Amino acid sequence: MSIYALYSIKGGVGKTASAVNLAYLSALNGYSTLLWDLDPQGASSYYFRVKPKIKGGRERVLSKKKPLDDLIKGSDFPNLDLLPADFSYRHLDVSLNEKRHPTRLLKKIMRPLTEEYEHIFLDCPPSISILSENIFRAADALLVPVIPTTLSLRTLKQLNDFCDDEGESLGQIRIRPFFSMVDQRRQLHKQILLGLRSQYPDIFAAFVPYAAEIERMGIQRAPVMDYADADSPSVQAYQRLWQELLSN
Amino acid sequence: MKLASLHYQLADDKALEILLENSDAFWFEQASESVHQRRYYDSFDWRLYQAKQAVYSEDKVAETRLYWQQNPAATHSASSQIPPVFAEDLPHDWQSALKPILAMRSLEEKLSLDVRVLQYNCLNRYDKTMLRLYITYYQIEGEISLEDNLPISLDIEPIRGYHKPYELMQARVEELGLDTQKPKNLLKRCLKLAGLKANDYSAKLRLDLTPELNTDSACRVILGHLANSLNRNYAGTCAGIDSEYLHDFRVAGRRSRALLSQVKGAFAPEQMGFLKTELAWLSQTTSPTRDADVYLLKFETYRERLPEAMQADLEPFKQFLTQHQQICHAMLKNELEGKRYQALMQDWQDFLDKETVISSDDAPNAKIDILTVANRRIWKAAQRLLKTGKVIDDDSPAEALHDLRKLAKKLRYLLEFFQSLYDKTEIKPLIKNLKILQDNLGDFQDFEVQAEQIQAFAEQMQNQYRANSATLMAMGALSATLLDGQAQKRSEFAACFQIFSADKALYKQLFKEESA
Ligand SMILES: Nc1ncnc2c1ncn2[C@@H]1O[C@H](COP(=O)(O)OP(=O)(O)OP(=O)(O)O)[C@@H](O)[C@H]1O
Ligand SMILES: [Mg+2]
Repeated sequence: MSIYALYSIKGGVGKTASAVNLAYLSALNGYSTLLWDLDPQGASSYYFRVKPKIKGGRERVLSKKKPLDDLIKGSDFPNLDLLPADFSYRHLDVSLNEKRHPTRLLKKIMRPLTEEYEHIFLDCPPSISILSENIFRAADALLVPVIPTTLSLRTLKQLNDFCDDEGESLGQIRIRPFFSMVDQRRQLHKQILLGLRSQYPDIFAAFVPYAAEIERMGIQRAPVMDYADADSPSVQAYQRLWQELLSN
Repeated sequence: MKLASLHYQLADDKALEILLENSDAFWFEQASESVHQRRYYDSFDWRLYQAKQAVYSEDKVAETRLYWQQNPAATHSASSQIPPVFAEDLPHDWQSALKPILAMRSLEEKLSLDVRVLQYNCLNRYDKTMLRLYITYYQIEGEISLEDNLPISLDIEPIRGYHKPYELMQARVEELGLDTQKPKNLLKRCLKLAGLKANDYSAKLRLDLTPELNTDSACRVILGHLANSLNRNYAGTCAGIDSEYLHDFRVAGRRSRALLSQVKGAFAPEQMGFLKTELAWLSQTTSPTRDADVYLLKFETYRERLPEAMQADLEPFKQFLTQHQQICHAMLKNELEGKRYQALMQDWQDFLDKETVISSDDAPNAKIDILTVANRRIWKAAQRLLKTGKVIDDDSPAEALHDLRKLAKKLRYLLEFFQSLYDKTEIKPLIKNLKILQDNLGDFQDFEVQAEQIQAFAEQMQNQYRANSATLMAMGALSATLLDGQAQKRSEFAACFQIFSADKALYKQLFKEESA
């Protein structure tokens, strides 16, 4: 059982696209898989054609008495379920703050899910917040998409520093960056790609290229493997990413 | 709350239009149509069917799947590469249930169906699937337009978190009166339509004799039945797919011999001479293979008799036996495919076909009613068994028990031949108790024979340089444990005999007084 959080302080880096495609591949490979859309924007829910709505909103989700189980929706794909987003998630921090253990609640309410699913993917909103502290505690690994620009590198460093500072209290969380939206025609991307490998041993060898096909997920409302050719670069890239994730 | 998938059987497809009706909130779209073959497997003697189980395979596009319908509510499936032949070829977690049913019997294809599956998705306005519906049509392979007679399966598969369409489908189904969740036995109906009969073979003697029947006619019926049993098992015996064909083949031959020797005077001696000698030949010809089969069937129990450290040393013995069995079987096949067997069965058939008039001097019992003869014979056999057994004590030689075994066997055959003449509830317990004694005597002798034979095998293996000292030692140890086993059986004999002899009054009442 593993919980993977697609996480980045920065927005628009490919968290949702990766969460959707990795969860799909996990399910395709026979693992019972759950994707939890924690972003009030509900992009993951949208890609799976599931209404981004939770009856009872964030309070229902955070309730320790009622199980999350009842809120889960089956996707159109075998082994793959979704816990949809809700607009009220934009104030999750407010609700969390009112709880007795505001940074540990997520881990607690997820426990029953860890019995049912082999892989859980969390699609996180971009920010450092109480919610993200919850995520750091609940997840086994943070999968961090990084666009190979100098700015992204700075935010990755920021994240690392934050986790280092919190150190003890966050436990075993692994930070595993991977390159996203890589444009190989750009020299800068290439340079950073090579340079960063040596700095971060945990960085994935596989990277996700910039591809119109991936953008089309919004029109197709499906994981990219569902409509793209099996040998297309983007499908191949996600497959490599998935293999690597699985192997360590 | 998890929604359960629903299964129904429809007599025809009239209801489908209503079921697939669209509403404002959702509509149905055909997602796929596929056709594949389903093959039902069972043993020659329908062991699965009798145990109310079914095993079938379906050739899907990507793979062949094997299914095990354990009961109407539970069907398991697993991917499979090749058609299963023995229980050991089935998926591991099925074996604990299916091995005891199939034992040594092999599976054969009994029936093949064409299966057509239509999948409909129930979509909402985002084209999200909220429910899946599968409609399955069956058709017996090669048959045309029988489709209408076979039920149509309807499977409703909910998707987690989508209750509304599920509840609506439930309501529709209820409205249509499709409340039978329990699937009717599809296989049964298919067999009927295909003109096939399950349980068309049983190793048991299934006769229905009437008491007034003349003895010669009754014996003809029994001999006809036994000839049929030989014929039915002939192909499987020659092919050697599993050991049970030969077993049943031999039982039919032995029963025939027993009938001829136990019911004397039903036919003229010259009529039956050929059958007697030829059946003796058949028994002789088939016994080496059967013996080898028995050693192989028992091999696991042999292994378990040895201390764990020795068990692996027995492996060369198994290889030897396997090869030995193959050689015996090849020779047997050669014999059975030869003229002598053909002539035997031809003469047998001729004898059954024409009733020759014979004088009552030659066949004194021929025109006596079968009940009278049966009573006489059974009572006599029971008496002999009782008398002979009574005097056996701890000092009697082993031969005394071996002889007793033969007497018990004779009585058993007689009871089985003629059981339809008597009240089932009276005769069944007698057979059951007799069987306890027979098993004891059988084991007693088998242990001895096997202990000896294993030593002979060991010598043979040694001469052929096929056994090292560890293997020879293991085989020696095995022989010793078998002799221990024999001693154990001996100590149980008195109790087993007691069970049989306690029925004396019943034997008397059933078979003696009526003949008086
Ligand atoms: N590899 C890619 N190539 C091209 N376009 C991509 C790629 N990955 C994502 N996109 C597009 O970029 C946009 C942002 O991607 P995505 O939603 O996955 O990022 P995100 O990190 O989840 O964003 P947010 O922080 O807003 O949740 C989307 O329009 C998506 O279609
Ligand atoms: Mg996102």
